[in-house]
Amino acid sequence: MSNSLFKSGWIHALVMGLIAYPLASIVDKLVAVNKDVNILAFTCLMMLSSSFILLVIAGPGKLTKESLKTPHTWIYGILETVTVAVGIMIMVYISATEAAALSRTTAFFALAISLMFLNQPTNKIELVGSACLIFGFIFVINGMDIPLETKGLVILLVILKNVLQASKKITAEVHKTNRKSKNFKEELRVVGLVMGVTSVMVSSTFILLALFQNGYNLTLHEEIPTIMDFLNFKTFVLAFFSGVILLSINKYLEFYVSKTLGAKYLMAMASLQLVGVYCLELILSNFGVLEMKQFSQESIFALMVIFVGNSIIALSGFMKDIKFIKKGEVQDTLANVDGNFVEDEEDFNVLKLNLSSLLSLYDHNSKKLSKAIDINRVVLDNIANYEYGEFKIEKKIAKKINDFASTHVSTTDQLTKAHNRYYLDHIVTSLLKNNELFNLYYLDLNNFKPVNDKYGHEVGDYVLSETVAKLNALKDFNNYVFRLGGDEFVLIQIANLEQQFEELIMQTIEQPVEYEAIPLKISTAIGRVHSEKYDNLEDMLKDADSLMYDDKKKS
Amino acid sequence: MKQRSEDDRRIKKVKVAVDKRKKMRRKDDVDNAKAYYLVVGFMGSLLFMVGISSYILSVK
Repeated sequence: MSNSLFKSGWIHALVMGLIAYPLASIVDKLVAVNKDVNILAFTCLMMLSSSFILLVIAGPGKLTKESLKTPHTWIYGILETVTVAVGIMIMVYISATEAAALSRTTAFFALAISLMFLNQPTNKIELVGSACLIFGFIFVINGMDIPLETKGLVILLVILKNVLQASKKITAEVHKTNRKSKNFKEELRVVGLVMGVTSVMVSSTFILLALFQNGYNLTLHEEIPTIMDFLNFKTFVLAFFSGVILLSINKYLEFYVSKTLGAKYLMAMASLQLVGVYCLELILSNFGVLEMKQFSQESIFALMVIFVGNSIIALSGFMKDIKFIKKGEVQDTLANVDGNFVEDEEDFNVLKLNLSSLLSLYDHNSKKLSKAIDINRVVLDNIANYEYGEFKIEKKIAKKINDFASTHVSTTDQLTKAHNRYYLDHIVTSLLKNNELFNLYYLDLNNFKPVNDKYGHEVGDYVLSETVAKLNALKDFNNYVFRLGGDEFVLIQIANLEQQFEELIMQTIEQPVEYEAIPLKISTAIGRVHSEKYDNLEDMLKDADSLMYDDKKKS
Repeated sequence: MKQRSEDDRRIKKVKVAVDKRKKMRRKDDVDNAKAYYLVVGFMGSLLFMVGISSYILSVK
């Protein structure tokens, strides 16, 4: 049970919300009061350091190239860069407490995006939590001491920042290699690479802005660092140790919780930060390291409402996960999006068997089968060649193959690709049940046995396949060509019943066939019955067989 | 006879596919290692350069 709870991500989320995030927040505060250190230069160097240490601990191995190639990594980097930029713009207008309170409403945005784009259903309890968050959001915005004309811009910026934050966490949730990572080292490697790309993106953006400011002697924003801010030794040392010790742990936890719980519960659990920061500030203020901030009654009320809203959402998620945790399983938060995978060995073996039968039906040509079934050929080849546990197959692909096999393998004659007797039974029963009139033609090839005996089975098989191909070309039978066995075939005519096709069928079959320069002459005897006076296939076949026999005797 | 030659052909196909996969895996390992050392090298040298430069500037 405790192992499952650990794997489910709730313990990680608890550590993240109560310890890791508050510690990082306190360090940020300590750095912010230090006038020598530029907070943005500090953030960039901290990201670089965390990425470096994560990669060093992880070592080389799987998922490296794939992580760098996947667009999720680059999208995460872009979202982080824009979030930092929007964050600076907001800081001009609102206080740190207001910013902290508003950023804790991100769970609502994550919930809305998950519902719209990831098909993750929500419930009434989560809606109550969301209502608390919206109320807290409006309360904070309303209490802001800024002119009315700038309020609109601030609201837009705050919403944009929250949407960006939520999108960033959702990107971590759906991140291809983050989801693929199976052990601690792989997880660290993926996070390290994402942070590497992100840190380079954020750093190069602010270095370019710094160069721009230097070159044109401008100040775009007082927080935008200069080149000398990046080369401040104090900034470097603080950023290096914060990145190595704090940010690396934070990012690892964030990616793990995103993967296991999903973005919305991650954001809800992150609100525990409010409690953690309060406790840490209380401790540090007793030692005189930090001055405890005094909050107004309004701020305390707004923070409480937001905290309660987040707690309700988190609790709802935990209650949903409880049944998985008890069973020792981990809930797949993206099960509704990309389907989960075939886990059972028996299911895998049934899939392999079905695919093998389908390949046999398609002359072992996976390209041909791939076209017919509309599944990538590589996937089909992988299923055919790999064994259970060697790679993952999505359930929806397995279902597609199994469904295709059950409609094709069980209804098709392997040699000639005509429909088989099971399918004839199914079609005729269904036509009779619906009182639909039709004609049934019973065919028996003449001179087939001598061909088989004289030239061998290979030539005989060729004649049978060619016969079916010719009959399938007759549009009047809508591909209702069935092989009963040996050289006996049945055709079903459901349209233009006043027309009779014995002559046409005979002419079609008598068209000359050649096998490796051997001319083969084949003809057929036909017996036709009309469905009106029948109520089962057996009687129809019996009468048609007898008529065909009369025809054979005549010829 | 025909069945046996068909089986042989299929076994040969599977063997070729297995060999191909092994080759692909080896290539993947090498590519992953190359990409890893490239990124770590880049990050490390960046941090080293910033650290050394900032230290020299602070001593001056």
